[in-house]
Amino acid sequence: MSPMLNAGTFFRALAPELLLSAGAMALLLATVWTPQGNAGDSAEGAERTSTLARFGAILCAVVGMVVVIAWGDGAAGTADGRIAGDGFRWAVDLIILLGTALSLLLLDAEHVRSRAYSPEVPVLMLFSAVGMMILAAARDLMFVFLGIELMSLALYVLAGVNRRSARGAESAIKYFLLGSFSTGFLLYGMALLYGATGSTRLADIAGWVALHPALDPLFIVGLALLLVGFAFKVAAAPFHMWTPDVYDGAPLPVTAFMAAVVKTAGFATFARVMIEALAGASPRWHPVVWWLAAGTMIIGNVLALSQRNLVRLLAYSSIAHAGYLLVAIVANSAAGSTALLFYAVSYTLATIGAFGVLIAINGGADRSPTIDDIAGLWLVRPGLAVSMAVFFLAFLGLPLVGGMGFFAKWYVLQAALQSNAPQTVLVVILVITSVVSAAYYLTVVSAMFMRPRTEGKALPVTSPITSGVVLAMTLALLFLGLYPTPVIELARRALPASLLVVRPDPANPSSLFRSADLR
Amino acid sequence: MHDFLLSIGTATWILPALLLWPLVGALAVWGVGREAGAGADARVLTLGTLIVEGLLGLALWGVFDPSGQGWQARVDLPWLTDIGAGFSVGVDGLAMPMVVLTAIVMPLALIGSWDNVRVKTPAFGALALILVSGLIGIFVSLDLLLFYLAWELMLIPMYFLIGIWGTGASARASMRYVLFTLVGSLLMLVAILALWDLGGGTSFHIDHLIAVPLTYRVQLFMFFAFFLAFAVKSALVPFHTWLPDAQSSAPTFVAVALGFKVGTYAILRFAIPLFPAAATDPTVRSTILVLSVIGIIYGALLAMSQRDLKRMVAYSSISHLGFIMLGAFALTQQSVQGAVMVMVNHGISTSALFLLAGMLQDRRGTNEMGAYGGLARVVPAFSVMLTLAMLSTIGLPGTNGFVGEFLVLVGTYPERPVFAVIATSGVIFAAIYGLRALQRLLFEKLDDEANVSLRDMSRREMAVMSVFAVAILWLGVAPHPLLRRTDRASAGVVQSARFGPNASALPNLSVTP
Amino acid sequence: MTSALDGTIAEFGWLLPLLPLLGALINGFIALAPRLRTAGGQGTVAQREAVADASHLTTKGIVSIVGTGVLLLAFGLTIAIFAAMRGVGLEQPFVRTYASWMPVGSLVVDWGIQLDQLSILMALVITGVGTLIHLFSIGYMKADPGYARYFAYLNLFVAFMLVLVLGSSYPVLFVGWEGVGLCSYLLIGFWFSERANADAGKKAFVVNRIGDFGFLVAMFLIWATVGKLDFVGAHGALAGMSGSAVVVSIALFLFLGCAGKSAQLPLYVWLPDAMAGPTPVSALIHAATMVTAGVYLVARASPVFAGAPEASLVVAIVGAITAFFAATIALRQWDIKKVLAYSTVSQLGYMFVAVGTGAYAAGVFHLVTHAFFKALLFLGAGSVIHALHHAYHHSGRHDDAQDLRNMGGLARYMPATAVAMAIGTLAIVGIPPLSGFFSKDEILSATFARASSSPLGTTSLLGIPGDVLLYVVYALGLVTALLTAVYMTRMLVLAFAGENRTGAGEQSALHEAPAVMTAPVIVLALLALVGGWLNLPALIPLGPVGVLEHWLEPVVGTSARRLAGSTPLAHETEWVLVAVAVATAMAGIGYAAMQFRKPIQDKEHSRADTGFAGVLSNAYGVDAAIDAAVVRPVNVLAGGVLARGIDVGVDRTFSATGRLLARTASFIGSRVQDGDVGKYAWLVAAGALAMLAAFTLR
Repeated sequence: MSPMLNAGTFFRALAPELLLSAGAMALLLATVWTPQGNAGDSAEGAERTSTLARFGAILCAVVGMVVVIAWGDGAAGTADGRIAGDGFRWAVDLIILLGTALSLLLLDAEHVRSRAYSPEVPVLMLFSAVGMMILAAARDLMFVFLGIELMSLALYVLAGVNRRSARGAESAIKYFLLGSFSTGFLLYGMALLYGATGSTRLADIAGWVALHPALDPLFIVGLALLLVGFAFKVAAAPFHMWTPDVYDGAPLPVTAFMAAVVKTAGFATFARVMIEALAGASPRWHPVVWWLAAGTMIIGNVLALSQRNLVRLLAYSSIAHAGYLLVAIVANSAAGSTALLFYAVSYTLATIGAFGVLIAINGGADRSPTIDDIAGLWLVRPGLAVSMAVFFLAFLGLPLVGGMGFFAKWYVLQAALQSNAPQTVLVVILVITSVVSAAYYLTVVSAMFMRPRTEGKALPVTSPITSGVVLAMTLALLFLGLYPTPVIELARRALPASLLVVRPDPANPSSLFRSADLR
Repeated sequence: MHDFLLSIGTATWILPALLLWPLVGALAVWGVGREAGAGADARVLTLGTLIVEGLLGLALWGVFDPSGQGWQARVDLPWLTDIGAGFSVGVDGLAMPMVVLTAIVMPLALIGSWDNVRVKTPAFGALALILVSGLIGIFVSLDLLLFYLAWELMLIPMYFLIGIWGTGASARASMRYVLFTLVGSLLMLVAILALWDLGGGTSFHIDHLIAVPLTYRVQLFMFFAFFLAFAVKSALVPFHTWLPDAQSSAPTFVAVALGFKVGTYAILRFAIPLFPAAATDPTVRSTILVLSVIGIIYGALLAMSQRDLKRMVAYSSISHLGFIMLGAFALTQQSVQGAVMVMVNHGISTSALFLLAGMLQDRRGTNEMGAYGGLARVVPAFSVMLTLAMLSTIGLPGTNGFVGEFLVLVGTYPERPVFAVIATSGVIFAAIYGLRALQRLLFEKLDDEANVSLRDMSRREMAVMSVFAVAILWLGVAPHPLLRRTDRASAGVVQSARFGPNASALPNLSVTP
Repeated sequence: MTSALDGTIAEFGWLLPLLPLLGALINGFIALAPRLRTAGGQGTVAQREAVADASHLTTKGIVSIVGTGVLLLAFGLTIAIFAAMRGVGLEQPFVRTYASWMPVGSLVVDWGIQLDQLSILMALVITGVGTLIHLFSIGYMKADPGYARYFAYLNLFVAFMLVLVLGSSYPVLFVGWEGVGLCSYLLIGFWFSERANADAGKKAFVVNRIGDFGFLVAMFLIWATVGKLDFVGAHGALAGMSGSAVVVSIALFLFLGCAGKSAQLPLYVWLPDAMAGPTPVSALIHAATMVTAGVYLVARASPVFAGAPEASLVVAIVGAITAFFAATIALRQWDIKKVLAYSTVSQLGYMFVAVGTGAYAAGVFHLVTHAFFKALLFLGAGSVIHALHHAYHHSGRHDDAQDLRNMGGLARYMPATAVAMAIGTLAIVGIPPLSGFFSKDEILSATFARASSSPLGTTSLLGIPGDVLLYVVYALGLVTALLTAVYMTRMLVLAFAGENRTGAGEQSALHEAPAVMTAPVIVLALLALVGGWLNLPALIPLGPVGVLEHWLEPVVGTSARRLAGSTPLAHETEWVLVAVAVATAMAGIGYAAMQFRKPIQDKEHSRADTGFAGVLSNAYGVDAAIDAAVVRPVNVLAGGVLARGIDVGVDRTFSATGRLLARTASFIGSRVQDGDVGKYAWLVAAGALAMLAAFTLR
């Protein structure tokens, strides 16, 4: 039976998360100690603190990344295997922290114009990030739940953080209601699985499945409910309805955070659970996830067609991409997890960039930009327009001009075709729906380049931070589109522990990851 | 010349140079290019780049060894080692003419349509150069992934060029162009991936993949995916509807670029040799041949009924495409070489026609043939050139058009007499649409005042056009320098198709008793 | 292959087409250069053209000299080669290939010429008559702004025509074949500002293309069958497979081409319209040379046709029907050129009867004499039109200078032309001893002879025995002879006899054409007079007998013998045939002379023809019928059904699917995605149930 989880190993195992939490706490406290005084002082003081908070948060995220890269192996997985110490975790952590840092930068860019956000926003984002990292690390359903809740609770607040915006409040409450509703499914599913298998550790569940090929009903129902929970978190059809409304209501930087980072984390844990715990049961869940993937791709892309509100459009496109990522999960293989990671990187870069552009053209208005706002962008901000085109073509998955997006789709297709049961049909669906997606992505591009600028739409000045982020994303995408090898090598090595041919020896658990990492 | 070029190692750098030079130029044009007039005129920079490209093309022609076997001027560099994709390029008798044609016609097209684009010239120049690079890439790639990249690389500049600098409903046309193309190309991507996978997932090189043993079913599926992509791109009926819109609304330079038959080239280069069993499957082959013949007649009939000159030319090229497909899938030495010939001719005659149409449009702002008439009295030089180009289009003996169509038909007849005969009837309709256009533009009363003051071709335009004229007549009277170079490659296509898996089921190569 | 002509002047045969081509280039440049200078300049087009013409006036001399000179040179060279050929008594054709054209695999197509008795004879006619007509044109086109352009076209035509007759292989012949078509197109539409002219040119080219389609298919057949396309090789190989179906189909497809080029039923429709071109063009292209290319081709391909009796029979029958059909139409035409045009169609019919019955020499003989007298007639008509045109121009009245009803009594004003025309008429009608008599009589008697005993007689077509058909052909030929006499005499009488109807104001201005125009006419008149001596029948030995026949013997002799009857006609029979023919002609002349002597009312008062006459005068309404049966449907199909129907339809289906998707999407978006959180919750629950179902229900 599993050895007792003593504090020492635990702390070591969760060192990065704990470090970040500590940082977040500190920032929170810092925000409390705002010098009181006359209004002017307080306003200026509040400003100072929120700035402090933002940069503190960014700093934390960066430090977290450094820790993960340099010192990741220091926090090995616990011997009882409840907390992973494998490359998969570190890779996901990297993506999460990167996305968080970028979102924080966007937040700053947005903040330059709208002082709507109180200093706790960055802190909340940091907490949410911590939750995600726990998700990435969790090899035990309890930790999964813990992570999801930590992540989600912070998000619920973030969605409505713009207190002056009714839309924000509405979206927040929606998100909260539906989120908790689905969490119910998730929790219940976990409970049933525990009831069936007698353990919440993924390894044990896998073992149980191996012993009981004929899964008993309890397990099946649990599995189904678990899937519902995950499907909701990753916004897979038909559990996607919240996405457009929430994205639409939340402030743009938060939306970027949700669209890019949350999705990554959700899929990371989803994939880990499916691969490490339920791989043996794949005959049962395979067709269901297959249909989830197909449905999500179709619904997401088709519904996006009629959108003129760019944020809603991106929301549906994020649903569609959830579909593509589900294909990687359907593949249920090492290649699948590789593709998933690679895709997550590409998708994060493009999403952050796209929202950066939206922030730039929206100028802090409390309404989502529409196609008419972006029409003729090329005539006034050629740089932004070209970048936006690159991001959208990356979503579309065109080579070279779409940069990394092409290889992202490429590896997903490859995984699907090379899996034990080649997913030819699913691949064809993916391809066809991609063509459909071209219709709405190109509508935006056409609007930017081929339509005149609508009268009286003066563009606000773009803050250097925004332009910097956008430019960085563009260059990164384009370069990795020409030479994706480093990222793919990283993603290829960073596998969930159970998929490693040889389990990493406890002494140096993440050697694989390190051998592949950035030095 | 040949030896000199070899002595300076041309064969080792010519293709990468052809491929990358336009991209360098694109950066330069985008970076330092200014709007027409002030400072470093972007158009001039673009033209300079293209002219160098043309010279490189001539060098390639010079360095090419007509009697050489296999790939020439080949270069293989590692690129994506993890999936085994490499930067491998090379040409044979099939690719070389297309490369040279592209490299030479593109600068001419720019000169010939010099005043066609006046706004945002830096962006135009850059995109145009990227487009050229994409075209060249399609023709020289031996690595399927590289080929696919070039294939899509050509797509996007085309999309922007048509959409931004086009006329009329150009945004819609460009969008449809991309969507149509994507339907095919993404399926092709899947097929490429699957083929690569079946080939051990180690290499995308055609020489490697061509040897991959495939079951009949698999071949059929993959061939379908490839063929669909190429058929859409080359506007085979019924996938042709995007072409007239795109070509009639595109700026002249781009309309010319759209005229290069990348789709049919890719069929001869990839679709047939990679999947011979599928390509020669009686049903598949007959279906394609039927479509080709339909295309010939259909395109001609629609060309007859067009009022817009550019649209008419576009439909005439759909008709020509039918001849190319017919020749390609009749799979005899004559027909295949005829197909190549038609591809080259098309790049010459149709380009000339589009340039001439562009000249009219730049002068009068319309391509409605009804708006003209009696031009022969005001713009004699233009009239002579238009007549010559049109005669070549309708395949008058002595022009290049005849040689291509004759070879295709004479080669098809022993294989599929009925199709050949029906296709031959296309010459009648060709005469109708060609002469009808000539009459509406050049003859009849000179009744419109706007036409009376029409300027004839400038020296610049005349220089360009005379090059085309020489080409039309030269290839019409003495095409054997070209035929000699395409000889082996065409034979290779026929062999690979016929003596592929089910060669026994096929008529033997010799068509003469 | 060695030939007796090796190393002789014949080695310069390649110069023959190149000389006129050179002329064409020079004249083309002269035509273009001043236009280019004035184009886009100031002033109206008319003024600009005036400037250009001014510069033309200075260059007109050069143009005339070049244009006619190259022809003269070519003519001289032809004569030289001809002399050389006579000297060596050529047996094997002299074939020279200069460059390979389309060498692909087993396909060999070379640029080469073949000099033999047939091609040199054609070359003689082309360059000889061509020279005369060029001379005539100098006068006829003097005032035309497009003078240089005209000569450029005309030279180009001669060049292509020589390629046609000298080419050593089918593809090379085809180059000339379509090249002359092009020139004919350009020259018919020479005055392109008139829509009708442009239309006529287009019609000619398109109808010819229908024939060329047959020609192309024939070439494919030949190559697919024997793998050769040069005359010597292909004919040699095909000779072995006489009578086989493939040879028959080759012959028939070839004949389709001939029917197009030589205006036989049903493809004759373009020739009458082709009269829109300048009259010398009608004389050269649409009477003397180009339209006879079909006859030449049948003679050239005689080994093929001789190997396919059925096909030959078809040729003869089509020829006979065409001859008769066209002759009837000619009866009621008022336009002098139309009369001549239909008569040309009819005479071409005779030639095809000849070559169809295997009397190749007779066919070529008629081709030559026809070239003489029809060119003569056209040029004469040209002089008349020229005169009337000037008269009207002089008086400023606008009336049709080609309408016979505006003529009459012209003999008084232009006697030389009148005499020449009379000679031409007698020749074509077939009055001994003029050229037409001998050639036509030879055709008729040959037909009669073939009917009595020959392979043709014994073969049958659609169950009808060949001899019956041949007798019918003969009968048609005879009737046509009668009709010919009638309509030609009618034309002559209406134009030159009786009272002048041109108009009081104009008569003063009517006068004979200048010498440069009359001279060629007179020369042609002489040729028309004595042309018969080229090939005297054994029956009437007024001199060396059957010269032409012997001359052509090496080329068509074998083939002719294969179709000829074993037993020649008895002299009595022949005499009877001759008598009948002459009597018919006389009768026709007599009737017409009686009929049309009485003055006719001029156009305004003449009532439109009614009944059959009406049918004739608008040529059986064939044009209208074709327009309704072919042209309109095709246009409707192309413009209506395909363009607006299917093409748009295909287009719509593609874009419609997209729009449908978008619609459904927005529908769902509005109905489901309406922001009602309760609904969302329900949907999530439903999804969960579905999930459960998916797992539990198998």
